[in-house]
Amino acid sequence: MQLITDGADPNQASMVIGYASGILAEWQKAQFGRISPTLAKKLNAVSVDTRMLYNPQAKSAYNFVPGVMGLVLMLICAMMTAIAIVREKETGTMEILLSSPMRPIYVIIAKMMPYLLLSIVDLTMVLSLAVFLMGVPINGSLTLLVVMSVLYIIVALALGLLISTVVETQQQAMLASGMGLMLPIMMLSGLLFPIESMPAPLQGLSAIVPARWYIQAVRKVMVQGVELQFVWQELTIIAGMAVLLVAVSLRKFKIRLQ
Amino acid sequence: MLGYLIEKEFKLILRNPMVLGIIIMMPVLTMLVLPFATNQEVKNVHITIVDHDNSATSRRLTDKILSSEYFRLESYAPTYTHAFERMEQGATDIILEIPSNLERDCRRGTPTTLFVAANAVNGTRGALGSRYLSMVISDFQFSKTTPQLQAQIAGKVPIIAAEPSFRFNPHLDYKVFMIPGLLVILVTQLATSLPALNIVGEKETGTIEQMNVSPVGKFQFILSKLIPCWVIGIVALLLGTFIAWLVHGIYPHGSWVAMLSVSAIYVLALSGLGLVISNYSNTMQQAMFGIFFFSMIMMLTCGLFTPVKSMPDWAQTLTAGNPLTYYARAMRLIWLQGASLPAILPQLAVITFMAFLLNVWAIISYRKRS
Repeated sequence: MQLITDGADPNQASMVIGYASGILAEWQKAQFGRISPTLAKKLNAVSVDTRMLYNPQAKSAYNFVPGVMGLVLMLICAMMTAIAIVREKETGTMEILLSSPMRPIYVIIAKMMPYLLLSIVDLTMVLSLAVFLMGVPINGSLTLLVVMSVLYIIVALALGLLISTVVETQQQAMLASGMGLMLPIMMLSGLLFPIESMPAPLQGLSAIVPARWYIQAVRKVMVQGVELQFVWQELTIIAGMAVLLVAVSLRKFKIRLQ
Repeated sequence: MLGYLIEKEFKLILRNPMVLGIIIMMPVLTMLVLPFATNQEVKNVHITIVDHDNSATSRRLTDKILSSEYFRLESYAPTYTHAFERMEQGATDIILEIPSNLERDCRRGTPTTLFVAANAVNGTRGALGSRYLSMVISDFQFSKTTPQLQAQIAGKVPIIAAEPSFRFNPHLDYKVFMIPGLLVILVTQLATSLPALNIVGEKETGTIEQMNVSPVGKFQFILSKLIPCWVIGIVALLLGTFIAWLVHGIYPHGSWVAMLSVSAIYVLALSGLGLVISNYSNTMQQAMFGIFFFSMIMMLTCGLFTPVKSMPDWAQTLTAGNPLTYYARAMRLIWLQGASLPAILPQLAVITFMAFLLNVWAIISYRKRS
């Protein structure tokens, strides 16, 4: 018997074929039962009890909401700070800042602070939308989720600042932080495409995308509702990235104008 | 006069090394790297097996499961609790628990139950994984019945072997499905952001005031911004198509006329959107946030990555106003199903209408005075 499907979307096609051949197999078993009850009995002896954990209705929101959170927070935060230093370079106020006795670390921290507060407002909005509009529960600890998110926001802000210290114009800063971050996050963070299905080199590449770790951890805490002991790995990686990025942007922060 | 304006635009674009880099690097990187990443195929499903039976039968069953291409053994766990802990850590996708009397029950024909727990956070992965698993198990059961019993039914009941055949993508290769989608993303990003950055760039450097005092009309000004972006969009599309053919061996099965005409109008529509956004923003940051906002929502809801049919109703209504939905649909029809121009006329009509609307809006909203 031939089953002909539209295979354009492979996963949809496999699902449809799976359902159809399941029905065929059931029908065949019933036919066997008519001829040979012993065989049917043997065939039916072992049954499978399948349980879908965490998301019994297979709602796609459970998978996508954490992913979109990772995307939105990273882009908003990075795009806000990417402008911060380069704008001062362009308007010329950087010279005043550099000639003041401020140490670079304070400049960097001061640049991050207001945006950090703004981002926390964003985070509250994103989380309430996730829960009240999309119906994704927060099964784990809210504190843990917030701590993770704030760490992730710091990574994003620091990444934006790093971009800002490297580029020369606002246009470059926006292109690098907007287009330069959107594609890698959408494609390599596990938001849409599972990391397990990628070839090894891309899996390695995805490890340096902060969103990958954040999305993974948010899925665990929000949907699976696990405790700190199961996400400490992701948490350490995100914290490590935050420290590294602040350190690098500090080194790249030139105290003299060209 | 339009000729001089366009010449000026090209000079501006070619003088900016970053923009030039993006125009060339974006198609190359998108088509070289991303087709490997954009793979929603369910494979390498990690399985943890809790075998309470430890008999020849249960070991044959696990061997059969692990020999299938879908599963990869994560570990054997002594109890379900241990296995569940592995799932909480995210190390395993599916747990199979084999009851302690599987072999005995199989011999006697007493009913017994295997327990399967799948991590369904990613619904598709959970559903497909557990379906593969129950397919393997029922195959296994049939192979375990004695030849005498199988002989009883031989000739009396037709043995049905379902032979799936997949039209348009016979090997169920995700790249075939995704490459037209990636081209859509590529064209969308270039077509919206270039004109927006261009006009706002002129606003920030102050050269737009010189344009404003010149006798150039609104219509000509907008046209002079549109045409270079249009050329760049089409060049990027062709470059992307060429790389897709060169590297992945995938090319449009349908008509080139259809692809080029729908793309040409689509680029116009999206550049119009970019111009509208830039007319309303004064700084680069505002423009970029506007573009980011629109392009992210449009990309995620256009059905490129997630089927439109599985979205909630309100989101489905939203996709009707999204130019990407129509372009993505048209591109997939052309690339996979081999559509020609008449087959994509409905999409073409909607995109043309949107292009007209957005560009009229761009001309109206462009003010010569700030």
